[in-house]
Amino acid sequence: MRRVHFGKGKKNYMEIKIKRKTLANIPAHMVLILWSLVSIFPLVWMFMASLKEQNEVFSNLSLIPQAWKFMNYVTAWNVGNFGIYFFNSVFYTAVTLGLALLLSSMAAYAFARFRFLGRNFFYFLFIGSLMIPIPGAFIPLYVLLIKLGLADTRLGLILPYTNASLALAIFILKTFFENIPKDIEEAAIIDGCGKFDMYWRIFLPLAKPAIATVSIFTVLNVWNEFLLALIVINNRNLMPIQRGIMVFQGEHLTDYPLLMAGLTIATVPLLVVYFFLSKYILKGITAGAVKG
Amino acid sequence: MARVVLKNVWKRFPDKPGKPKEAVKNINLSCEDKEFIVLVGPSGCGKSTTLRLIAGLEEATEGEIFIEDKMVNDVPPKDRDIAMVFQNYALYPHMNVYENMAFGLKMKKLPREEIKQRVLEAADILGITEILDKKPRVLSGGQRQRVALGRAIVRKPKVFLFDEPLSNLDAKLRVQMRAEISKLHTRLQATMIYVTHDQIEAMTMGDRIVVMKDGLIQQIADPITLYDQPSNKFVASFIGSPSMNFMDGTLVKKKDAVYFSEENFTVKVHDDHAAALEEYASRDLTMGIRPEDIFDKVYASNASPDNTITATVEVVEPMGAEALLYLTTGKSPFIARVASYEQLEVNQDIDLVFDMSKAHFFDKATEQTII
Repeated sequence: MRRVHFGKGKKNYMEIKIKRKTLANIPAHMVLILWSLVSIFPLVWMFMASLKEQNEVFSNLSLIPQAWKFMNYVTAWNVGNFGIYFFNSVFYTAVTLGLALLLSSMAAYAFARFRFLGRNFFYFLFIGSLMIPIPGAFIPLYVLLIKLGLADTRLGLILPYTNASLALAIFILKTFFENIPKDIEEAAIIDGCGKFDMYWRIFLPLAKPAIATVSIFTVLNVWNEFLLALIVINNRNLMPIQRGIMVFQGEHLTDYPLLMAGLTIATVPLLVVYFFLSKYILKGITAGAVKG
Repeated sequence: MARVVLKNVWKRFPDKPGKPKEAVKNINLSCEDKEFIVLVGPSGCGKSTTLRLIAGLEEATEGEIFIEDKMVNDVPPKDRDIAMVFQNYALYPHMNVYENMAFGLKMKKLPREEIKQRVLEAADILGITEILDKKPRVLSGGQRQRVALGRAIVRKPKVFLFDEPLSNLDAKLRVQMRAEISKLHTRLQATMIYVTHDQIEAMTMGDRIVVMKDGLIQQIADPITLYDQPSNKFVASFIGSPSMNFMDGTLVKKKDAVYFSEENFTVKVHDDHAAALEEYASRDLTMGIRPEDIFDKVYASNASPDNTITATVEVVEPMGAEALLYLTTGKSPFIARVASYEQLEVNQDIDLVFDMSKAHFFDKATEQTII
């Protein structure tokens, strides 16, 4: 960096340094702004389209609707049975999340802190399952669900969703548990903690960032899941929201404003969850050893 | 009575196949009721492993461990009636100070009122009442260490175990906390077993000190005995700061006197020691003499040709009230502690008097103390 001597009429070298740094940042900021616009635009288009008339969606190229049809949301909720679909999605997501967190945290604790025969084998079996594309397992899964009498039932979705969530959850939580210092565990042993108390009172409370990360991934995956719900569920009263939106897609005609309204309703809860849990994702990713 | 006894205790860890690592070898140790005993030694000597064996965090491969005359080899840590203070404090990050201190009592299912009373009592002793609602992450190192102490105190254990609790503190705080722990020992009248690698901590705090090396106990004695009568060269070098100077040479008998002869100097062995060393005449020995037992000839009252040598100053370290001189005889480097008013320069030759009544002699092969 070129240094300029202080003096009357000469520029301060700090001013030059700051100006050069600012100028260098402009292209980076332009790229980031462009990328943000590209990412946000579909959501904005979706929301704006939900407020238009059917014939306006593709004919009116402006984002701004001519008539602002907020009634589309009421119609989508009542006529489209969105209340039931919404409840089902919340139910499937909440139950899957609860089961996944309970099972994966216990498994991760065992993998992280216990020595037992086959520990590495079972752990890598879970991790290996991450490499299998889930739709690839749908056919045998569907056959299994039929044979177990679970097709077109709530359990028929909850069990596969939970199973699919376990591998990543165990991976994230195991890594987090391994980073908890051994002497905290030893202090708890001396204080009288058995294995379950250790898990429940010490490890689990310390794993909040990891649990938040696992929660967000699980909620996103279960809430957005469509293919398995399409295959397994035919009963409208059991359909989650992504499956239920299909009612607006007719054989000859798709009611786009109602469809967009339904999609917006489906998106809002995720945005809320992400808004509250996003800081934990960062903490979970960067969390190192916990020092007391 | 909270007496801790270790009988023929071994601890082996799996290392290479067929060759386990012996961290602790045949330890026999008896810590009396209310005694403050310090395990000291370099890293890897087995002192922490010994402490963990007493705590129950490690299982002894061989031998027996007794607490209060009851064998505890198969007793889990929570039932041994011990409390431990860790080097890294090991406070629970998600609990505040009160909860950290109360946790062990809660696990024992003590009544809430009793827990509260014990916690407040301990907090008062340690001066941490005002931080009971704080989480560990906002506390300073000294505060965290007090909380760790408090967590141990509330358990009212028979034995306190300390695993290098002051290692992570700065020098000034370490001095302060040393005194606090000593005061605590006097106040609580409890048996305390303290592990440290710092020989100053050991000397200032312990009723008795156990010096360890490579899994073996080198010597067990009170601080003064350890300082004046080390049993071998390792103990002599470990205790004392700066450590004892060692010079290799030969014992020479001349007429009725015995001399220690190094390549560049010869000094007469003190009359009290001559008889014991006569049998080592003409043999190679190591002489040990502490820096504080070496004096500038100008200021020494008992200088004579038999106890005076000439050495060259290599480094002068002023310490305030005194100075440390790093010297060499040409063959043997050594350190002398002199008064700071002595104005000395590097590469200056100086005459020094050895207080031979304080000299020690070690067998060169076995490194055991002869005198």
